Amino acid sequence: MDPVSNHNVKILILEHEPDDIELLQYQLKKGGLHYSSEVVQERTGYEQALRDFKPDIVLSDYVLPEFDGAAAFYLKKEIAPDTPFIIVSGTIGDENAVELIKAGVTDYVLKDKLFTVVPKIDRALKENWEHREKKEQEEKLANYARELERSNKELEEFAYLASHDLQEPLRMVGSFLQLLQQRYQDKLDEQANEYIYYAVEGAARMKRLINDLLNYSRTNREWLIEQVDIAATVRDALQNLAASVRESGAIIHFENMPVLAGDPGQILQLFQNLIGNAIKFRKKDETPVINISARKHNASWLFAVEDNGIGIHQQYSEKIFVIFKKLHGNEKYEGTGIGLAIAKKIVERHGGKIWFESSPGKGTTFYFTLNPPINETDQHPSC
Amino acid sequence: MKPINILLVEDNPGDVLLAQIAFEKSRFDVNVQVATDGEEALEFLYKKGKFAGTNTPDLILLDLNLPAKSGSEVLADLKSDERLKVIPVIILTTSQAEWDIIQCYKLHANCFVNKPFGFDSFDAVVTCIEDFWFNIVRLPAN
Repeated sequence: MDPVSNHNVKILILEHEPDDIELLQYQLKKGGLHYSSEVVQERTGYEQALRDFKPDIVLSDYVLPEFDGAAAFYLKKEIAPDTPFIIVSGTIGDENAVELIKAGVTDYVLKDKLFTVVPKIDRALKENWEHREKKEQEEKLANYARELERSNKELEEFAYLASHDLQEPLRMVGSFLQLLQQRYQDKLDEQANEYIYYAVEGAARMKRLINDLLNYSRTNREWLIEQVDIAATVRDALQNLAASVRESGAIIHFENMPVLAGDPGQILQLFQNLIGNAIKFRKKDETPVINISARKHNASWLFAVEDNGIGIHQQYSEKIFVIFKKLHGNEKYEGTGIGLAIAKKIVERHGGKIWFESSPGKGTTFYFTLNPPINETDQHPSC
Repeated sequence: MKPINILLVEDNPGDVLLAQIAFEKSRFDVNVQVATDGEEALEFLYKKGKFAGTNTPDLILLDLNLPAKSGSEVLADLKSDERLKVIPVIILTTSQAEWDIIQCYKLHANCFVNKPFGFDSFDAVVTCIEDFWFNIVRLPAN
């Protein structure tokens, strides 16, 4: 939008010489400005016009019988701080002019160069408009940041509430069902025991969901940057997965892992979730083999976790990263469906992307990039 | 061996029952007494009103989420009392918040334990508590 031509400019003129007023009006009309003006000559009228007329711009003489242009400027600064203020004077010296501009006067026009007044008004209004736009944008951004902060805080409170208040009654359900199951099994018939079994199962699953949800929201809240030795991290992940590694007989290869900056706990979680999935979704009749590799890709690192498992159909490429989304029933593969949602969140928090390539029945390779947020070291420790 | 007195500060009757069932099976002679909120716990410890003549507990199990006076306030009060501060206090809560954990240790809680899910785990935790505090640890005689 053109700030100047599209609306009628309201000009407040502070001038006591009738001839000067006439000359000025003549220049304004000649310059093709759409405007309406109010002329005031002394302080009270000036003050009132600032409040009631609400000018878009003030044109003020420098030397006035009652008070001067500087005083008029400071008065305007109080009443209408954002309104541009141009001094129109025959006598203003360079030094004075510099002082006034420093103090915040928008511009000045010499009476013997009165033809410059319209371009100067145009410029002042345009700059003022831009300034206001910028300020509005900044305020919008600040509001947005505040809103984001508030909603994050709300999420934090929700997580806290979930940990306290949701788990409490659930723990009662689970515990007493378990007691019922143990102490009354002989006294109830088979159907009653089946009902109890499903109720116990349900409570236990709900408990896992709540825990996972807490973990997921924690990914947002906690953030730590350190140098992370990926080889050591993978070893830690394998340690945490020791039971399923042993049970499945999985063989895991990894070498030339870098050291990079990131959140150590989250990167551990990331590898653990991906390796855990690679083991979980193995083929029944084949030893799971998992290859983890890394290579430098521009400023970031590209990792690949390749398995020889059951594979994923490409049609699920987006779905599998959705929270609580599962492709298999609970009877076949246990879990809440949060592992990849957390993995995606962690990768994105590290400025990276995650995706997969897979041929069903042959295996899957998960790729992800990590963008070290601060200076990283390019070490390649052996493993 | 004289009986071990435990004060359980817990407002949830379900948790009280779970603890009582778990302690019933104890190999120690355990006497569990219950206060259902923070005020009552302090009245009990100071032997005020209806609690005149009760035994000073050997161990306190303290929930954090209590009505009115919270568990951490009770903890702060009794750990600043010369006579009561020697009694070990085990925080037994569902809270996993790092803030609660730090806060409790700063207030000199003796340990911080999460209430486990399911009766079997609850029972196992109670057995561990008994084993550690009544068998391994030495507590003041009087």
